[in-house]
Amino acid sequence: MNDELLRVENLKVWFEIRKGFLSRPMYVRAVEDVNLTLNKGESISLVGESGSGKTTLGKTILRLYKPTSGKIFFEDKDITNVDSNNIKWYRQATGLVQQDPFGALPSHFNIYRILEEPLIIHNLGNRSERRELIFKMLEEVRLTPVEDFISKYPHMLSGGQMQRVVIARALITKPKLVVADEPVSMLDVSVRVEVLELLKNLQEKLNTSLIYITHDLATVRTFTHWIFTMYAGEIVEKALTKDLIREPFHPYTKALLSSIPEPDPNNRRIIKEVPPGEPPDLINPPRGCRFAPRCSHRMDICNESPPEVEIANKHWVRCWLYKR
Amino acid sequence: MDEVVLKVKDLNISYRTKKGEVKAVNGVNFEVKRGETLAIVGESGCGKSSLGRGLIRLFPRNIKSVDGEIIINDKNILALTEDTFRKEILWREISMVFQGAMNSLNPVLKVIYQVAEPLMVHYGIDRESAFKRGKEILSLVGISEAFAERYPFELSGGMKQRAVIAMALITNPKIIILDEPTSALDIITQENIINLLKALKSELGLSFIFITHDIALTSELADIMAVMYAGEIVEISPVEEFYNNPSHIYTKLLLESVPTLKEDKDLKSIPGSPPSLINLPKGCRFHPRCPFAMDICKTKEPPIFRVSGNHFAKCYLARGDKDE
Amino acid sequence: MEEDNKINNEVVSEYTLRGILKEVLSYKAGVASLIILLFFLGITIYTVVAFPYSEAIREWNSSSAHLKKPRNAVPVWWGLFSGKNLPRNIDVTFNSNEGNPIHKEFSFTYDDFPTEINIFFKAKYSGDPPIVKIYWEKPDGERMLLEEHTIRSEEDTLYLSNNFSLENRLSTDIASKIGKPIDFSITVPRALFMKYSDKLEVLKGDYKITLDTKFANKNDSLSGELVIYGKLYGIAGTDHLRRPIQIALLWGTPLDLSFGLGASLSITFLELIIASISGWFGGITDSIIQRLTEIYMVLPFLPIMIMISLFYKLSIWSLLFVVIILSIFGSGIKTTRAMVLQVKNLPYIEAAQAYGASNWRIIFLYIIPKILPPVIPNLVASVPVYVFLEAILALFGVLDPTQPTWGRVLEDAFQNGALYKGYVYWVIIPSALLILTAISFSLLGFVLDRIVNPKLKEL
Repeated sequence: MNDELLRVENLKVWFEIRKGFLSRPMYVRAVEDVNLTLNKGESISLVGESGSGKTTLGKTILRLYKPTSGKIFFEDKDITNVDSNNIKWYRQATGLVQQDPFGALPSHFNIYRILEEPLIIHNLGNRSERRELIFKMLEEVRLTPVEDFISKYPHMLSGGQMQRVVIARALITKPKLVVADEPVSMLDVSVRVEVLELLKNLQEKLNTSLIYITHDLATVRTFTHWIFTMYAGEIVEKALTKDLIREPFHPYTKALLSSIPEPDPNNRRIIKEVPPGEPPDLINPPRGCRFAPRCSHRMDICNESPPEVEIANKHWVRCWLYKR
Repeated sequence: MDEVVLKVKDLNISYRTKKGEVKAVNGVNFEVKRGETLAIVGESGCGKSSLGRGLIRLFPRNIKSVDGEIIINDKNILALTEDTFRKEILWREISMVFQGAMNSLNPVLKVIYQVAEPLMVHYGIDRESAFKRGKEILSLVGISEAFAERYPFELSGGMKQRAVIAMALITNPKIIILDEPTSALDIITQENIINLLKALKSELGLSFIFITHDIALTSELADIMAVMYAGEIVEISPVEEFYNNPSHIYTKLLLESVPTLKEDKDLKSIPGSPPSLINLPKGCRFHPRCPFAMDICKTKEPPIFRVSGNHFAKCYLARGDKDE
Repeated sequence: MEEDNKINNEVVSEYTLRGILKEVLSYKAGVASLIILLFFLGITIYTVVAFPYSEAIREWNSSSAHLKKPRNAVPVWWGLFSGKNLPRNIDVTFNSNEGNPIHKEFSFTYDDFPTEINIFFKAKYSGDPPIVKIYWEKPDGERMLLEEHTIRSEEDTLYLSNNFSLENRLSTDIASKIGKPIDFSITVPRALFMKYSDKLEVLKGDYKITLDTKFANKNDSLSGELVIYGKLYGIAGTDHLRRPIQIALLWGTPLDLSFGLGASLSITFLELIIASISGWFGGITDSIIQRLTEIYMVLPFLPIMIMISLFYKLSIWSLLFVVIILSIFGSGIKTTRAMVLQVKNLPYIEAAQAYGASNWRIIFLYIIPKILPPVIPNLVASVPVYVFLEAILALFGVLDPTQPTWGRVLEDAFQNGALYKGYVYWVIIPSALLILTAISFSLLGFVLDRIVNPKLKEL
C-alpha cells in the first residue's frame, strides 16, 4: 500500500550565467542536494527567506525548471528528464498558486475564461460539462453569487477575490499535488487567514498534497503536517509542524523562530540576539555548511557539509552540533 | 523629555481623480514627543502612506486640498513658503525613509556620495567634510568604510536599507518617518534593522513615526500605537494598553486575524474590503464590515471617545466616557 | 501592492469598443480625426455605389469616353477665384430629321472664351457622303461660312479649333476688320466669340449655328453634337486626356485607404506574430529572426521597389503584397519583441505553463492579446505612411497606370508639367487629400496612444 506521491532524491538545481560569450560559465547554486518525500494528502510547509531556494525547489518539482542533477519521482514515474511533449499529464496532475494574484491572472480574460482554460487544454468535458465544473469550483472558493463573477475581469476584483480565482484555477483539474508559493504575502493582513483556511479546506476535501512555500513562519500553523526549513539552497531541518515549533534544533531555525515579531509591548526594551550578516551569494557559496559564517556555534568541522541526522522521531537536522 | 516635537491638528488631504475626489486623510490629530515612537498601523488604502508623505509636504500632482496644521518648532509647516520649508524644515527637522527605499538609490552614484548629498545640498558643506560625516553615520548604521565606497548594486538588501536610513539621519533631524522600512526584507534582516532602530532611538533620542501594516512588528519600537482606517485614525493608545485593551472593533478584529506562533488561537479574517475613498459610507466608515454595527453607527459618525488616560477610540462600543 | 493595482484598474476598464470611442471623443483631436474619417468613409460609400469599379476603370482608361469634355479644365469652384465667369461646356445637339438646313441657337454670356470647338457627326448614307455647310451667326448679326465639310465616315469629327486654315482665314479677316494693331493672337474660338476691338473681349449674346446639308440620297441622315468646350469641369477639373480628375480622386479614396489600412494591418499582425515567436522561443530561432530583421532594416526599400518596377508594372494589389513582404522584418519587430520579453516574465504566463498550455497557445492567446493595445496607436498612425508610399511609388513610375489612384493623378500631373503650365489644382487637390489622410490618422493615432499609455495622460 504505497501512499507515496512524490519522491525527490539528491536534487540539485543550478542556473547558468554567462558574463560574456567566451568567458567560463558560472552557476547560481539555487538548490543543493535536496531529499524529500511527500505522501498523498500530506502537506509540507517549506520555510525560508528570499534566496533560500524554496521557490526554485517548488517550481522544479512542478518541472517548470529542469533539474541539474538528482531525481524526481511522481507516483513512481521518473519525471526528472521528461521533455515537454510528454509532460502534459503531469500538468493536469499538478497545480500552482502564485504570490501575486493580479499578475497571475491574464487581464484580458474574464473569470469564466480563466477557469475554462485548463479544462480546454486537458479536454476535460464538453462545453456544458465545463460550465458545471466552473460553477462548482467558484462555489467551493466562495465567490458567490457565481453568475456575478463569471463575466468579471480580474481588475474588478479585490486581492483576496483574485487569489481565490487563482486557487480555483489550480484545483479545477483535480490535481494530486499543489505548490502554493507565498499565496498570501501580497494580500492584506485581514484577508490572509480566510484564503489560507480556504486552501487548507480544499486541500483536505480533495485529498491533494500541498507544498506551502512561505517566509512567514507564523502562518505555518494552518497546515499541520510537515515543516521544512531551507537556507541558501539546502534543507536544514525537517519535522512535524508542532514539533519544530515547540523544539527547533538547527541554529538557523531557532533564529527564524525568535525573529518572528510577536505583539508584546515589552519588545521595545529588549534587543534580541540575531545572527548578523545576510544569506550568502549562491554563485560562490561557502564550503561546507552554508550557515556557518553567521552561526554563533560555529566549529572547525563546519567547513565540511554536515550530514542529515535523525535527532528525534520524525525530526531531522543537518548540523554538526547533533552528530555524535 | 516631554517636549512635543511634532503636532498634527485636523489634517485633511484630498486628491483629484477622474472618478471624483479621493479623501485620503481626514481629521487626523496626534502629537509626538521627543524620543517617542508613534506607530501608524493600517492596511492598504487606509491613507497611511499619504499621511506619511504629507508630513514632509510631499504631495502628488493631482493634489486637491490640504487643510489643518502640522506644527514643528512652533511653526505650522503647511503655511510656510516652499523655499522656507525646504531650507529650514525639510531634512533638518524631519526626514523620511520611503517604502522600497533601497530601490530608489541611484545606481550610478557611490553609496557614500548619496548619503553625503543631503549635507552638501541642505547645508552647503564642502565635499570632503560631508564625506567624512557620511562615513561616520554609515558606520553608525553598520556599514563599513569599504562598502561606503561601493555602488548600490554591490550591497545586499539589508545594507541598502541601512544606507537609506543613514541618508535620513545624516542631517540630525529630530523626527524620522519610516514608511514600511522592512517590508521588503527577510525576517532575520528585518530584526537586524529593528535592532539598529532601537539603538538609534536610545542613543540619539530620535522620534520615529513608524508606518506599517504589520501590527505585531510595531510592538518592537512603538510607544504609541495609532490605527488608521479609511483615512482616519480610529484608535490611538499607549502601547502598554493597546494589545491588552483594544477598543475599536476594527482593531480587535485586526488583532484576531494576525497569526502568531506562540498562541494557537482561532484566527478570523475581516469580511469585505476597505471602502472607496471617493464614496465613503455614511456614519462610521467601518460599519459595513462591522459585525456589531448598530443603527447609530450607520447614520452618525462616532465622536472620539476617551477610553482611559491617553487612549482614544472612534467607536460607539469603546468603553469609557465620551470626551476628547 | 493593492494600491498599485487599483491604479491599473482605471486603464484596463476602458478597453471595450464603446469605452474607447467615448474616450476618443473626449479629445478635440479625436473628434476632428473622426470627422475627417467619416468624410472619407462617405466618399467611399458614395463612390462604390455610384460608380462601380469595373466601369470606373473602363472610363479611366478609354480614350473615347471623354472626347466631349474639355482638356485641362479647372474645377468649377476654383473658377470662382478668377473673378471672371468662366465658360462651361455647351452642348448643342442636332438632327437632320428636324429639317434641313438645321438652325440651332444658344447663348454665350461668359467672360472668357471656350478652349475648343468640335462638331461630332453621325451620318447614315449609302453611296456618296453628305456635304454640310456650316454657318456661324454672331449676336451682332454677322454671319460667316465656317466650313464646307464632306463627311468622311459614319462617325466623323470636325475639329474646328484645330483647323489651321480656318484659323488663318479668320485671323487675317478679323485683324483687318479691327484695323488697329492688336497684342493677342486670334484662335478659332476667340475669333468666333470676340468683339472686334483691340481689347480681347467676349461678345455676349445669342449665337446661331446653321448646318446646310446636301444629301446624295433621300434616305441619308445626319445628326450630331456641337461641343463648345469650356474651361470649367466638375469638382476637380480634368487632366490632359480630358478625364475628369474626380474619377481618380473618388476611386482613389477607397483604393488608397484600403491599401494603407491593408498594409498597416497585415504588417502589424505579421510583425506581432514573428516578434512573439522570436521573443518566446528565444535561442536559435530568436537569433535567426533578429539577424534577418537587421539585414532587412539595412536594405534600401525604395530602390528595390524601383528595380522591381523595371520588370513588372505593379497593380495596387501586387504592390501591397510586395510592400508587406519587404516591411514585415522591419524595426517594428524589435520594439514588439521587447514588449514580448517583458510579458514573457509575467506570472500569468508561468501559470499557463503550469497548467499545461502549449507554446502556440501561449503566444496567440496570452501574449499577443496583451501586447496588442500598445501596438494599435502605431498601427493607426502608420496608415498614412503607406498611403504616401503609394503616391511616391506612383511618382517613380512603379505603378500600373490603368488604376485611378491619387498617386496616379500626381504622376500624371508631374509628367505633364502641371505646375509649370499653371494647372495648380491638378497637384493641390490630390495633395490635399493625402495630407488630410495623414492628419486624420495621425491625430487618431495620437489620441489612441494617449488613451492606451496612461503615463502620457499626465502631460
